[in-house]
Amino acid sequence: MSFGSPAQDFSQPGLDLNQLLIRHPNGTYFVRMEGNAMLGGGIKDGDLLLVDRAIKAQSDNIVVCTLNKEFYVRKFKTHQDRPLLLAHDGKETKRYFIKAEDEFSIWGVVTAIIRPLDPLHVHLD
Amino acid sequence: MYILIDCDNFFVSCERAFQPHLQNRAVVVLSNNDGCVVARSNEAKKLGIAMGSPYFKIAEDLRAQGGLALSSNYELYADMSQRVMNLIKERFPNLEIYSIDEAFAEVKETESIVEEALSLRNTILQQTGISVSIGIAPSKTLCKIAGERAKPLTRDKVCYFHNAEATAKILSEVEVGNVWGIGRNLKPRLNFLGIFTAQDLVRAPAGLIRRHFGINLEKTVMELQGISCLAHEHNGEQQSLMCSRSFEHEVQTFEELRRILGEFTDSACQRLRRQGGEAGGIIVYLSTNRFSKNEEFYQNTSFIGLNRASALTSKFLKAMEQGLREIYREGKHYKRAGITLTEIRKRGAGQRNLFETEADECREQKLLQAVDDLNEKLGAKTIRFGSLSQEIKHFIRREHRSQSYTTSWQELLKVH
Repeated sequence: MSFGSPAQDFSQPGLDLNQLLIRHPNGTYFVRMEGNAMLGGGIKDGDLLLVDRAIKAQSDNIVVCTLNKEFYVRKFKTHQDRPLLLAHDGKETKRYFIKAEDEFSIWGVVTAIIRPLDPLHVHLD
Repeated sequence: MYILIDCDNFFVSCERAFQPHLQNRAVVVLSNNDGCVVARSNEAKKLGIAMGSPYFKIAEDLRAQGGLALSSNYELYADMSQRVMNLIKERFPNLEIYSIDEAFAEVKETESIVEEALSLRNTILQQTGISVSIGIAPSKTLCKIAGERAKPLTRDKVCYFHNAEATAKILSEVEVGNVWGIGRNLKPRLNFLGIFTAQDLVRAPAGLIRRHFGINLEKTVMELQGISCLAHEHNGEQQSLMCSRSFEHEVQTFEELRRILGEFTDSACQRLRRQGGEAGGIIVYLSTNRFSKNEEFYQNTSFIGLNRASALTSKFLKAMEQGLREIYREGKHYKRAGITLTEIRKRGAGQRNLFETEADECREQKLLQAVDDLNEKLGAKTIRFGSLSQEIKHFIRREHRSQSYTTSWQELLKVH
C-alpha cells in the first residue's frame, strides 16, 4: 500500500492562458499584424493580436477597424467628437481624421499582443 | 413559448465578417466542387440568382454585375456557427440547434421577451458580424412563419406572434405549401379540398384532416393554432450523420468507391463517438452524373441495419461494404456517393444482443478510444483502419475558397 501525496488535495488544473487573456471567447479573434505602422504602440510586424469584438471601443483604445474596405490596427481617439486614428511607426505619429465620405467602422478592440520569442534567434537591435 | 433564431444569408455573412470588400455587392457561395449556388447575399437574390443554380449558368452574369462567387469554407462556417450558438445559449439555455444557422429556444413568456430578443440580436451582430432574424411564437411551426416575417425587415428583425387576431390575419397571407412540414406533394391535395392558405388549414375540420392526411398534418394544424406539439430536442444532437461528396473525376471501380466510402464512414463514426452516440444502421448512396449525355442516369440507395446499435467503425465498414455491393453496377461512371448513419441515440440506451459479450464490446471500445485520442493528438489520420486509402485522389475542388480565419494559425486575418 502506498501513501498518497500530501499535495493531492491541493491539485488544480494548470494555468490556462485562454482564461487569462480572453474575456469573451465567442467574440474574440486572433489576427496577424503585417508591417510596423504601430511599432510605437508596441506592435511588431508578425505579431499575433487578440481582438475582442464584444467590447465597445473608447478613446485611447488600440482597435482593429475597417477603413474603406481595408483592415487597420490603430489607436482610436475622439477629438471634439470627431473620430481620429493614430499610427506610430516608432519615429513619428500620423493622425487621420475620419471624413464624412469614409466608410469606417470599428471591428474590435485589441486586448493582447502575443509574440513568442525563439531563444536561439533573439535580435537585440 | 418558442423563439427561432435564424442567421441571415449565413455563409455569405461569415465571409463578409472578414472581407469588408464583399459588403454591398452580389456574393454567392458555391457547393462542394463549386457546382451550384448554396448561399446568396441579398444583392445576389435581387439579380434573380436562384438557390441551387449551377455555377456555370450564372457565372458570367454575376461577374458582369460586379458580383463574386466563393467556394464554401466549412471550417469557417462551423466555427462561426459555434460562436453564434454559444451566444444564444448564454441567454436562452434551453436550446435546440436545428441546423448550422438556425436554432429554437424554449422560453418563458415574459413582457420583456422582445427586448431580450433584440438585445441578443445586437450581441450576435456585434461579436460575429452576423445578422439574425428572430421569430417568437407559441409553437415552432408558428415561429418559422414569424421568422420569415422578420427576415425582410431592415432593422430590429424580430417578429412576435402574441395576438390571435393578428396571427390569423398573417396566416391568411401564407400559402399552405410554405408552411413548415407540408411537403410539395401535399399541397395539390390540400388545394383540391379548398385549403389554400395556412389560415384555411387552421379552420379545416379536424376529422377531415385526420381522415385524409393522418396524424402528422393534424399536428401541424395544432401547431398553427398555437398548441405546441413538436418535441423540443434540448441537446442539439443530430439524429443522423451524413457524409457525401460529388467527385471531380468520376469513379468507376468498386474498390475505389469502397475506399472513398470507407473514409466517409470513418469520419462519420468519429463524429458519432465524439457526441457520445451510437447508430442503428447505415445508408449507402450512389449516383451517376444527372447531366451526362452519354450515360443513362443511375442512382440507388441501400440500407443495412445492425443487430445492435453501435459506434464501432469496423461494424459500419462491414455494413457499408455490404450496402455498396447491393447497389454497385459495373461500367457506370459515378459522380456522387455518400453514407448516412441513422437511428442515432445516446450510447448504451438500447438492448444488448444475446450473442455479443460485454467484454468484446469493451475491448473494441477501448481500442477505438485510443485511436481517436492519438489522431486528435498527432493530427487527423495518424492511425487508420486497414481498408481506408492512403491517399484520396478526389480532392474537393475549392478554387475560390477564403481563408480559415478562425481555425488555422497560418490563415489568420491580416491587419496593417
